[in-house]
Amino acid sequence: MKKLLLVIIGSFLLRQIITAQLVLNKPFSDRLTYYKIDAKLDITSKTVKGEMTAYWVNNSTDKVNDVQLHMYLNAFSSNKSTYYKESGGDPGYENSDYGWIDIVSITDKKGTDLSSKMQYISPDDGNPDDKTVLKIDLPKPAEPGDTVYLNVDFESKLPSKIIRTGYSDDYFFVAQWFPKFGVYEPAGMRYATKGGWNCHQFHSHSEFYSNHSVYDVKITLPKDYVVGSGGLLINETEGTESKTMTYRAEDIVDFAWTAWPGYAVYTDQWKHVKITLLLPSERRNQVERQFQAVKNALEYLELNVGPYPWPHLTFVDPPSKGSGAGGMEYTTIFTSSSSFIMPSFFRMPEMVTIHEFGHSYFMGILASNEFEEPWLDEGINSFWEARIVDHYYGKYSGMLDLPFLKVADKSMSRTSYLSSGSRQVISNREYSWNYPHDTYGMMSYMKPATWLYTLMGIVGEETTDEIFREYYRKWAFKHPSGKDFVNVVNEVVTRIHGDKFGPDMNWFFDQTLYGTGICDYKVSGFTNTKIQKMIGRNEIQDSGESKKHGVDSVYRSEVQLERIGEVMLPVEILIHFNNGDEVWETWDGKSRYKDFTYTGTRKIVWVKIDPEYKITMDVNYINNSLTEDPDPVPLRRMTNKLITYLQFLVSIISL
Amino acid sequence: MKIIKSFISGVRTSVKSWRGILITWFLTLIIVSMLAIPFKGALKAAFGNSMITEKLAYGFNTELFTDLGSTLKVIVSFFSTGLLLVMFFGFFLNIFLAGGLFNGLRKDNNSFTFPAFFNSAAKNFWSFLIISLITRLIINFISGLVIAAPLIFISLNENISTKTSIIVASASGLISIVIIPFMLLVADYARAWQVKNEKSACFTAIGFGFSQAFSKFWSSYLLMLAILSVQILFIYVVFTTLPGWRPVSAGGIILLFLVSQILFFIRIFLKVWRYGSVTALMEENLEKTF
Repeated sequence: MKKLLLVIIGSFLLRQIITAQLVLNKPFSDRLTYYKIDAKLDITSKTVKGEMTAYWVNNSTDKVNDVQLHMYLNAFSSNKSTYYKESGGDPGYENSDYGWIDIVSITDKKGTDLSSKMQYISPDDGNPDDKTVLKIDLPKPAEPGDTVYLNVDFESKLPSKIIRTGYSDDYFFVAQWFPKFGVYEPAGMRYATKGGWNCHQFHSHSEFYSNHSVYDVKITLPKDYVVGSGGLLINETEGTESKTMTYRAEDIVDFAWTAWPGYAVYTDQWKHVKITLLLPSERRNQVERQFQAVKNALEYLELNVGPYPWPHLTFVDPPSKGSGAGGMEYTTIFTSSSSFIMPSFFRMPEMVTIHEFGHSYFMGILASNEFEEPWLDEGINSFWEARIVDHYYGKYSGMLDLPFLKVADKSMSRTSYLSSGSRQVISNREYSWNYPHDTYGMMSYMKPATWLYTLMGIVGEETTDEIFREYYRKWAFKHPSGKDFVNVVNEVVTRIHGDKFGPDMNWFFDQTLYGTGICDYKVSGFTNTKIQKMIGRNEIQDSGESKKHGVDSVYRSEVQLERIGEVMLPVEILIHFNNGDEVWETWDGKSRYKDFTYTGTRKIVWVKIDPEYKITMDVNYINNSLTEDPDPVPLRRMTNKLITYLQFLVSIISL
Repeated sequence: MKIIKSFISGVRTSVKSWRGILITWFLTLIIVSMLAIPFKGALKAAFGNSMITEKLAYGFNTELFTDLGSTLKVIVSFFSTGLLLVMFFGFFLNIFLAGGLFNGLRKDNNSFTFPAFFNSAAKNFWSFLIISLITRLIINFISGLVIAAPLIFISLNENISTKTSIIVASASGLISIVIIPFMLLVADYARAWQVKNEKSACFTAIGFGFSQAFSKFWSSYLLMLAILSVQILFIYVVFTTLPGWRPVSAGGIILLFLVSQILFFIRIFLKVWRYGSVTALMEENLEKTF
């Protein structure tokens, strides 16, 4: 009886701690999961020993018989894991190379040992050697409204090859390091037709999916180590050789941290957000541009999408030996990438920082399932990254700004999409690890960014921003799916434009997101035919004679357009006449060809489809325009300069 | 004083060799045009009557070329092969012409004649080739070893302290500032000596180059450093201003061509000025010796 009372009081106190607001003013999410972890980093054995108390709340109407946990680090335990089977290679040959996570003990709230109820499962590929998903049968099914508590002692060994997580010498990036609940999806949530755990294995080409949680994490490690984490530092105590840092994080989807004695720490403030940057002290010359990049992203996304709710943000520029940790996101901590020498004209660090910060929105706040719909995070985020980079660093030179070569971030996405030889092999309906022929990157990042630019070209920039504001308002701190995003687009576009684009925008997504076709429109030709007037039975008076009588020549001008690709999008056409007149036409782009005919004294000089290059999905802009007299100046200018550069080059190499 | 005298003498003899500079300019123009003009033709054919080239308004545009699709591979293959050939023949052409230029810079050569220019170019070609190859090899080897390797090491290794990084980077910079002008001096002294001698003796010439560069180190080195600084400054100005100049009319294109060719002519003049100054210094040194 006394024991039961203690358990009840303990549980009550725990709930009080969890619901307390230490970071945010109010809970933003349902907080269905919670983690309290006391972790100790052993820098010699490269392990983290943890004591964890965690819970999951069954807020469904289902009776749930088990819980499923991600055990990501086991992906690095052998070359037979699904991760290494998919990626090739191996984790190494020494014991120190492997990564793994072991459950030392596991009990429920009442102290019942659950170790006999554990079973590794492989829901994605049935690989018996993969141990990245752990199923634990509950002694008693969790009824609707029940909270399932787990007390877990675990030991995590970090892998020597840093693939997002791991160690290198004295450098540690600790991610995916603790047993973590999958997401229980009741029927009706996203695509679930019946209740069940959504807990995928760790794949080579995939990221993650988690509940928004509260984390109370204590990290004990040697005193000389500098720590960065996704939590807010609540307390720090020092012993003779070690120190303990206590962090609290609320409503984030993952908790990661890093430790290295070589970090220099810089802080800055943007409105309510305290920004902390950790990077090797040698890179202090990068600090200003890194802070500016993240502040630009904060400003742009707050304005055009929604507020950044947390008062803290940490980002890390890992040293070269930890570069495998670079370019990754964990909501309130993310990693960038730069180096000691990084010329200012090359905006790679800015691009990476803006991209990874953007995930705070499209993975952190809008916590989509990256296993199943990676485009919802990576694709949308790439689109915003390009917009931000080009907005702040140059419309034509966001990525690279050299006097003779300028590259916009927007162009990079389109160029990568265009240059993929396998852009038609699969649609975005597929789960991330099933993209064939190395198309994961193109399909998850580049193609969605390209069709989002196309969508913006069709519905306009203001409407696009409103779509994302609405998407944020409706789905922040929830788990939107692709169809939820499409529904938001449909709702906003019809609200703003009525039925201008039809009853909904499904036709767009069916072709771009869920289709495999390409988009290619072409001006196949134009003609200007002088009209010959009949003035008698067999006599013809051409307009030349008409002119003698003071009448201008009359032409029948015809523009011939073709749709070469499968994708049908509405396009604008600009027709320029020899008298300076310009006529704008629109074409729904559905038929295989379209002709426009004009009769008058003017002749067509040139024709352009999509003159403002809004349809970025169009795989060939070259055939989008046609003129009877191409301007020779651009190519001559380029050739002129090429001649001069080559002359200098020849002169320089030959002493 | 000796340096200034050599500078002035170098300018005087370079001006005197304007026809040699003109030949060098013209032949270089011809050789690079053999790549650039067909390249323009290939692009013109690929773009056809499209107006896509308007995207070149802001400089080189990567998207424009990606849209070429499979044609791009053909064009890139053509251009890269052409570039290799231009560099190869350009290198040999310049070695050949340097023989004529060095001959015209001699004190005892009072009048420029085309037969004399080409005669000297032909006579000294093989010696100049070996001298150029050896010095170029040494420069490249040292650049890789002393400049590139430490810089790559610093940028990749975070374990070394800032102080060490700065020391290594400064040392690399310092060594390169010493080595590159020194090796150019060796090459120029060797070539100046070679044209002065009837017999073709490239290795003796290189030996002479090293001996002159070492024995008259300070006067030679400071002279070379000053000339190289002017040349580098000039190239920097050209490469930072020329790309930004984007004429939009046919007249503007002609003006761009004229200005860029004048700039290249000046570049050759500055190079010949270097040859002339080193030749003058060598002649003065030899006069003092005998």
